[in-house]
Amino acid sequence: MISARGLSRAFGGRAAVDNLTFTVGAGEVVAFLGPNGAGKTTALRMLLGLLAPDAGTAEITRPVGYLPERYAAYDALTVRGYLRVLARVNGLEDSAVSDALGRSGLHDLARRPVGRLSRGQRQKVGLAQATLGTPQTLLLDEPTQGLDPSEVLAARRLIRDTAERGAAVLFSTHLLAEAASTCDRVIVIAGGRLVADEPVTDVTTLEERFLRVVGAAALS
Amino acid sequence: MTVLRNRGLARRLLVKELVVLWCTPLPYAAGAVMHATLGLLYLSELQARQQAALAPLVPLAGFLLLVVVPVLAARTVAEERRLGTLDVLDAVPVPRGALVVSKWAATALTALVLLLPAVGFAALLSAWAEPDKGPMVTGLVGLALLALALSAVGVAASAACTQQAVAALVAVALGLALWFAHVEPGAVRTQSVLGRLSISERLRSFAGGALDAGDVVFFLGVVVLALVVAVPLVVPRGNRRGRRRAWARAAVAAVAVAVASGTVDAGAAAVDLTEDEALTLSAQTRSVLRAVEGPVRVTAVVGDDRGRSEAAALLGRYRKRHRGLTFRVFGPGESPGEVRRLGIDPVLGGVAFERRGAIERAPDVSEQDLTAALARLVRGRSASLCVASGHGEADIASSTGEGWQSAAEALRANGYRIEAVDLLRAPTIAAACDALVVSGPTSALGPAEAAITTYLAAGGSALVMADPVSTVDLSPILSPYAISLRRGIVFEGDDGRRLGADPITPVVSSFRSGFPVVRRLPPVFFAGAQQVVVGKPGPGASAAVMGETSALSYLEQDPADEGFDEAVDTPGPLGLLAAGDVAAASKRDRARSRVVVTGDADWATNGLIGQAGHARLLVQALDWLTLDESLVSVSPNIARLRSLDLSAARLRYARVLMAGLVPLLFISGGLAVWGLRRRL
Repeated sequence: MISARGLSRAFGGRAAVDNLTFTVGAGEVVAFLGPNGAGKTTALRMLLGLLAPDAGTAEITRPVGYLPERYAAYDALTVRGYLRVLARVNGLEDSAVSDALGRSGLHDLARRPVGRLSRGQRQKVGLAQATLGTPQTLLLDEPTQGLDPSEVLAARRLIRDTAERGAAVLFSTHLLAEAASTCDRVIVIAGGRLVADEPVTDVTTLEERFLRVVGAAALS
Repeated sequence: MTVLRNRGLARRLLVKELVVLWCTPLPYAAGAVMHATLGLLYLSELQARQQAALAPLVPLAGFLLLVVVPVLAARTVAEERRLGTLDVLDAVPVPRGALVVSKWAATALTALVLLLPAVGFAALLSAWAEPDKGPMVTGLVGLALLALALSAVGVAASAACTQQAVAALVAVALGLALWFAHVEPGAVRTQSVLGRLSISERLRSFAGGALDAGDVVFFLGVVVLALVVAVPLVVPRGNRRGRRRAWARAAVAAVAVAVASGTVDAGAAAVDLTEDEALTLSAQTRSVLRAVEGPVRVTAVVGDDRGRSEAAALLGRYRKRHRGLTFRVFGPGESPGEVRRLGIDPVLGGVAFERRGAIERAPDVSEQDLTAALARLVRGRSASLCVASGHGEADIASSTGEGWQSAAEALRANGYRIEAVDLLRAPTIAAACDALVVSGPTSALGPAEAAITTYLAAGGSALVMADPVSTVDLSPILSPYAISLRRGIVFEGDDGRRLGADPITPVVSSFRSGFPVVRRLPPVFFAGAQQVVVGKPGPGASAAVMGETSALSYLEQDPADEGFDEAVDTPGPLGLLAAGDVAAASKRDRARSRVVVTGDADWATNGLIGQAGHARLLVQALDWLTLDESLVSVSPNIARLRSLDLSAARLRYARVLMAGLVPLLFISGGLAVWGLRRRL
């Protein structure tokens, strides 16, 4: 479960996140939408405890899987070696690494150094590390960037599978179609404030709704 | 504790760190540059010294580590933070202690691997000569500890900085500050807080062969302190509360570590691993230090940096034995007023001991001089020397070649008050004279002989120097000690035991007596001497020849007719230097009456006192005559020189191996890893 209550954080007097309150239940996949600079990454970092809120509280159920927006791994390690380190960090057995490699379609790349992978392959490694074991919370910042269409579909399947295994999933994206096709619900923030928290309908309705709430927030 | 609970995690993180580090060109390049430099510099040192010692390598390798290790460590946290890989670990979150320890351990292990080929130098020295193994072991242990400490400082700097280059610079600057912490212009401050932080001084102790618990604890303390400081620095900056808590814990831990290591450092025992126990104060010095009560302040004025460091190291050993002894070491220009107040020669330097308002001086920073000065301080007053005059003896005020002015100055520098006593005008010797000097009288002593005999019988002591030129027979005053002087002139037939080709100047270079007068005495020579004969001492007396000529020598009774005449001449070996003591008849506080006798008087004159071991003989003789034996028989342990025959071929071999092949191995290793990874 993910719970944010009155989360606020300002940088240099400017509010990046302002009184943000929402929850994501177990097994739920929620898209975190908003224009650039809306405060999505700041909110995710506060949820993870990487950033202290000025006000409010954030709670997540651990273990947590996290894929940062600008994901980087240790170039020197092989894919398997890297996942093994993270498995140990998460208190998991090495068998979890094989599972993750299988789920992410990375078996063929297991012995290759991360530094020799393409951008899309690296993003797959990022998703694999985030979904290692059975995370109870999955926080993903732009998880499908750099992936080709078939990899995007595989990534969506992976996210849904993780949710079906009981994880509360919150992922930020700019792609409304992705949100519409993967998520149960969308949370939209603009100027650091929550402007919409509603179930997903079809993508056209979502686009209209998004433009309306984001535009309204900008006007206000 | 967190680290202990997460050993498995720390181990996996350590492997990750090692793989990450060794997949970069850094360790290979660092190893190649380090060993090329170290090989060339150390082998040049060996070539210049021709001594089988690893000690010169220790500061060189230490200084190179000072640069190399921070470069290795700088990337550990700063690079992860820059790439964002730390965020994934923070999100878990990884225990900070395990994270920091794994990064430190990986850097430290890498530094140790880089250091490992230096053992090759020890192997070469062992193959080509007989080096003292103890200092080689302690030197390498010191370097290993330095590597551990610098790794920790580097990780802390990396955790504090966002950029790798800045972190490296900060770590190098910190290392340099610690390296030179004991140095201030013209002085060495080993006892101040800054002085105790000096890693180069600690390393010098290891290089010399000492395994000092204080030094070990110091380096380990630096490791713990740096890691404790690094932990809050790796807490994400946005996590203010977490950081505050971590800092509070770090502050408590830092204070505990600082107090603990400071306490151990102050009272730590040192193990001397040198074969000759060269770092151990002699039993006599320890005895003197046991007799010292209350605080003693020592001021050493030494001209050069190296001398100051060595002085500080020696005085540090005294301090370990007597915590009330504090010392400072500086150059002559540092505090001219203080140097003047203490009566230290601003040009030659020296040492002053202060205790309860009394000052004693030592001319040099050697264990013999320091302990003698300390012994005089313990005695509580300076010894009074009465120099007999009136019968043609050497004049203590005369600056001519035959005068005794230089000898008098040397004795004054060693804390003696000297007074000429005219025994011709007033043939009595005051009981206040701690010792009498009779230096080659040339006219009959007359009533003075009785005065001397009475003085000695009452418990006095005397340095008696005869001379073959004089006809005065000094044997009667020496009879209680079973010592006599046989007239004639000593001829030395052994080329190796005479000065140049001069047969009437025998050299004594080995001394065969247990008397402390000649212990560790450099060679002395006697330009024209008569024989000193020691008979069988009576009950309660002891006497011995301390130095003699070779079996090829003889006592020539008729110098006009050179050559050994077995009818009249006495064959060698012939005594030239003797000492004796007897139970005193008086109830004075001195228990025994002592004499030191030489068959020549010229050795202590202005012309010769500065040569060979003459000044040392004079001071040691009078110290023994005037002081409690247990306080003066200082025989410092001196490290034996271990020569190394570093021929051109050997030098070439060592250069190719250590400055060529070893760096090449590092480069090859780097290329192999690079090639291997390209194939994956």
